[in-house]
Amino acid sequence: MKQIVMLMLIYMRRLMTNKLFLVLMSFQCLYIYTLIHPLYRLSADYQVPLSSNLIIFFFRDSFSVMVLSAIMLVFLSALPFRDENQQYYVTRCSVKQWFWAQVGYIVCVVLLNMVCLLVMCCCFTRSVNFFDSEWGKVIGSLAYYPELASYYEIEIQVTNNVLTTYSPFQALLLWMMHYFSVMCSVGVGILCLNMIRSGVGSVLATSLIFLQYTLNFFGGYIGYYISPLSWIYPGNLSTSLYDYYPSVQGVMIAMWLVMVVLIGYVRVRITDKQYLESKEVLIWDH
Amino acid sequence: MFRYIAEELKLQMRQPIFFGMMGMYAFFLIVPISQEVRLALNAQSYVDIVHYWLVPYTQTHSTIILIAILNFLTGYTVIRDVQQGMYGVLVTKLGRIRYIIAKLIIMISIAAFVIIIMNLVVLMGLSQLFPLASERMTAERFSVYSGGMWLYASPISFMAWILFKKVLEAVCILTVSLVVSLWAKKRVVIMMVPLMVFVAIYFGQITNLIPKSLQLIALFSPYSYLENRLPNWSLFGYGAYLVTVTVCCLGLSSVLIYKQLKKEG
Repeated sequence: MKQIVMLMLIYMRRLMTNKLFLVLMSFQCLYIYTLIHPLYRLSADYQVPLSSNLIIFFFRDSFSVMVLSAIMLVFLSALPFRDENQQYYVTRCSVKQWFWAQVGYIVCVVLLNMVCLLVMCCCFTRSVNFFDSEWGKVIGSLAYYPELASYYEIEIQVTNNVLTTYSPFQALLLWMMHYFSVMCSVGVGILCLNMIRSGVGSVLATSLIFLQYTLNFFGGYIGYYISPLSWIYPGNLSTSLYDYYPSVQGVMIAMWLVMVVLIGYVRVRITDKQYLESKEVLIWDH
Repeated sequence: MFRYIAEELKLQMRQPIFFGMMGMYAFFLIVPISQEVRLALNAQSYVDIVHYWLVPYTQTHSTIILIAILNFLTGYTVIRDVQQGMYGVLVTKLGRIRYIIAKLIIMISIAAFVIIIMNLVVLMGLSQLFPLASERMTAERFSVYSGGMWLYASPISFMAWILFKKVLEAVCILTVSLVVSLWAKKRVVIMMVPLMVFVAIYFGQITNLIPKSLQLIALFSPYSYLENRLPNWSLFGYGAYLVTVTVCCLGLSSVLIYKQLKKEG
């Protein structure tokens, strides 16, 4: 366990000391600011404060999902780590620990990015009201008067179904759970599929991003069920029992099952050194 | 140099990824158009080809996606030569400056080829379903898009003008990608450059950090006249300004590429 944590720390340090990490984080920051900036005018005109709960609605617009997921994808794109140091790490620890450390890296990166998004949103909206029982006047107005969004050129799309079904805190928890699950499964997909055949994981992740964008042009719930990235926004999945679509819980359970199956499959195959050598994933002396 | 350009273009155009990306380009052109056609059919209001064809170009996001697809073909070319060791051989044969010019010409040719061919294919498909342009609608729409510049022009010349603008826009953003590729070196990062350029331009646009006349995406959009981005120039003046912006982009990027390649050795 200690070795897994040490390896995870090495991977995290490697990410944090990379200039690319800072560049991408600043772009993420710029993008969030550009999303929130038009709301300042609305807030000033009507003398209403902004709410940090807006973060939930960032993932409604397909283009925002595309930009924010693409940044996440770059953080995960190095998986499995395959530089010359890995041979040394595998020799010092074991294949099993090397693999679990990378799964741990995915979890840490996803959590880190989620916290960064929350902090950025709080800083730009200048409020921390996740625990309030009301959504706030800005979000309410955007949901019930969509013409406000077009007048102020606001890209954030607020939908009624989230507002009427969940309290802000419930919605935040749901968003965090969905973001964590979806991004972790994309990360595990990249890791495991890249181990099975080099490059397949990255192709899958890119396809998911383009699929999400394409669905923007087709209305209805059924389209959103096809694309895992659209599940981040709780309102994209049906919130009513009467339209007979799969429930949120069902979708999440299915995703975690896929993740467990992928990890299980690679864990079973990874012990076979010959297999890994033939796939050129990692060649080591163990 | 021209023989190298011809050989490289032939090689690129024979690869399966080239056809795959052309297919993707057509797909992302058709998807917004099909949405518009569906809405029009539901409302039983039939318009003309010009209307439907312009839909992806009036949406900034669609334009960025189309450029991102082109970036899959052109973004990696210089760094691939460096990593595969071809760069040394080519520089010995051509010289560094000619090599950079050749790479830029290849990039422009590929972008222009894909944009023009795929748009023609989509236009041919649309021509089977809708009329080219209805007189009254066209006159009104042309004046909206171009500040009266295209009021009595033919729809074909108007579409050619939009295509010309789109090629220039793609060249500007793809050049940035080519420059970034020499620093980033990772394929995933290079593929993201158009998205990041969009974020940067959008940020500059919203905070007014970039002057109006240099806001690339708005400048190349069909609505650029509507937003009063430029003085009321003639068509030639507007075209010349856009070409100048593109040439400046190419010049600046050539200098940056030259400096970085010199470091690479």
